[in-house]
Amino acid sequence: MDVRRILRCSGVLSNADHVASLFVRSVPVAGLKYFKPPADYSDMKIPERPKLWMLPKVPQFPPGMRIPKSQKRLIDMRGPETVHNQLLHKQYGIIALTGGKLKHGHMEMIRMTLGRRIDVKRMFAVWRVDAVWKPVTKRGQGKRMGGGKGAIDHYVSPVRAGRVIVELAGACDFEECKPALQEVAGKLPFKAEVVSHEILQKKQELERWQEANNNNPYTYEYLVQNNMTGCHRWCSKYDKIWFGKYQ
Amino acid sequence: MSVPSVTTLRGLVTRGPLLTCVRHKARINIQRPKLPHWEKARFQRLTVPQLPQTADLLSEDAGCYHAVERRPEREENPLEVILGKMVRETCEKSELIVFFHRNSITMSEVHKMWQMLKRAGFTYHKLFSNTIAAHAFGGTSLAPVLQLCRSHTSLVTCPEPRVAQLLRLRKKLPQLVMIGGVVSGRFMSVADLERYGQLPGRPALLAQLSGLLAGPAAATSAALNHHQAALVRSLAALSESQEQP
Repeated sequence: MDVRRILRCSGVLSNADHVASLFVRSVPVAGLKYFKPPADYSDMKIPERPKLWMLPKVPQFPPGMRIPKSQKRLIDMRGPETVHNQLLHKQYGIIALTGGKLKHGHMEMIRMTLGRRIDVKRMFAVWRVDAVWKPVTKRGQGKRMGGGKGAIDHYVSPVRAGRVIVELAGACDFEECKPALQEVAGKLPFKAEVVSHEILQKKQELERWQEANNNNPYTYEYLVQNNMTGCHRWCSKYDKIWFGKYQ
Repeated sequence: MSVPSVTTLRGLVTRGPLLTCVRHKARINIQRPKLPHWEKARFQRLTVPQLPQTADLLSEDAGCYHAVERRPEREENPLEVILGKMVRETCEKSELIVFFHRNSITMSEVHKMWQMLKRAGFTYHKLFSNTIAAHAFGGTSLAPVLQLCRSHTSLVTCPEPRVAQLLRLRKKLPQLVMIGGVVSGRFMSVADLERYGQLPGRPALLAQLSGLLAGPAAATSAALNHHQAALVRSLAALSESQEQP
C-alpha cells in the first residue's frame, strides 16, 4: 500500500463514491442480510371459495341422450395454445410445455395438493383447464378386432403446449407458492413449468427478441416456404403452419 | 394416402402415373415423440438460431431486450446506511483513527481486545463490510481511507491522538494488523505513525520550542557579559589563592 498515494489523494479525490464502488466488492465477506420490506397486498380480495372446487369425473348429458363416443382427435393436443396462455390474475401458475391429456385423477391430485398447501386466508387457486369431457374408449384386454367401437373407459381433458393449467394468486410471494406448484407440476403427465407473470413476460419477450436477432439466414420457415431440397415431399401440413416448432 | 407423383432428379422432371398410393402413418405420439427422419433432422440442425454473442449484446445496437443477465445492482441495505452514519459520527469526533486488517479471531478474543482497549481509552469498531465503510467515508474529507478498506477491516478511535500508547498496545493485538490511520485530520501510513509515536510529548516539545526561541537572546547576553564574567571569575580565584596560607 503506498503511503504517498494516500497523501497525494487526500483532498484531491472528488469522486469518492466511484472509489468506493471499485473496492467494495473486491473480497467476498459475510455481510448483513437485507430483509426486504414485504410487498403491499392490501387491495387483494380473496374469493369466498379459495380452494379448487371438485371437477366431475363424467360430463353430464341430458337425460335420455345416447352418450357419444368421439374420434381420437390428436389435433386437440397438437400445436400451441392460442387462447388460454396468459395468467388471468397476473400472479403465479403452471404452464404446460408440451401437449397432453389430463384425467380426472390428475385433477384430483392438483386439487388435493394445492388444497393442503395453500393458506386460505391469504391465497386462492383457480382452474384454468376444462373438466374432463373427451371420451376415451377401450376394447377390453385380449379381445379380437371387430365388433364395433369399444366402450367408453374414461374421460380426459386435452391440453396444448402453452396452456395454463391452474393459477395461484393472493397476498403471497412467488418463493412461497413455488414449492406447492412445483410439486403439482412434477406429477402432471406432460412437461410443465411453474411461472409467474414476470417470468412469462420475459419468456415471450425473449422469444420475440430471438426471432428479431437471429443471424442465421436459414430459418425453418424460409426452407419450408421455398420448398428447399424438395422438403414438401416429407413435410406434413403442420410443418407448413408451425415450421417445426411443434410436433 | 395418395400423393401426386412428380419427382425431380438432377433437374430432370420425371412424371409417373397421376396418383400413387403410399402408406403414411399419420398417428403421432405427443408425449413420446419419435426421433426425426434424417432429412428433417438435417433441417433442424441447419436452422438452429445464431444469436449475437454476449459481448455484442452490451452494445447500444443490440435492441431493447435485456437478455443479458446483467448483475443486478446491489440494493441499499438501510441497516448498513445507519451503521455507516454511526461510524462517520464517531470518526468526526475522534482525533485518532487507526485502521487494522482483521485476521481470523474468535468472539472471546474480540471481547478481551475490546475491554483492554476501552480501559486504555480507545474504542474498537468492527466494519462488517466495506459497504458500511463506503457509507461512512464516501463523499467526506476522509474518502481516501476507502483504499484501506479492501478486506476485513477494523477501526480503533480515540478522542486524543495517543499514538504511542496504541503502538505499545499493538503487541497485545496479534490478530489485528495496522495498515494506516488518520491523526488530527492527517493521513498517515504505518511508518508515519511509528515516527509520530516516537515524538516527545507536547509539554516537552513546547519546552524545546521555548528553549529554541530563547536561544539567540541567551547567547547574545552571554556574549555581552563574557569579559565581565571572566574578570569576576579570575578576581575570585586570585582572592582565594591569597587567603590560603
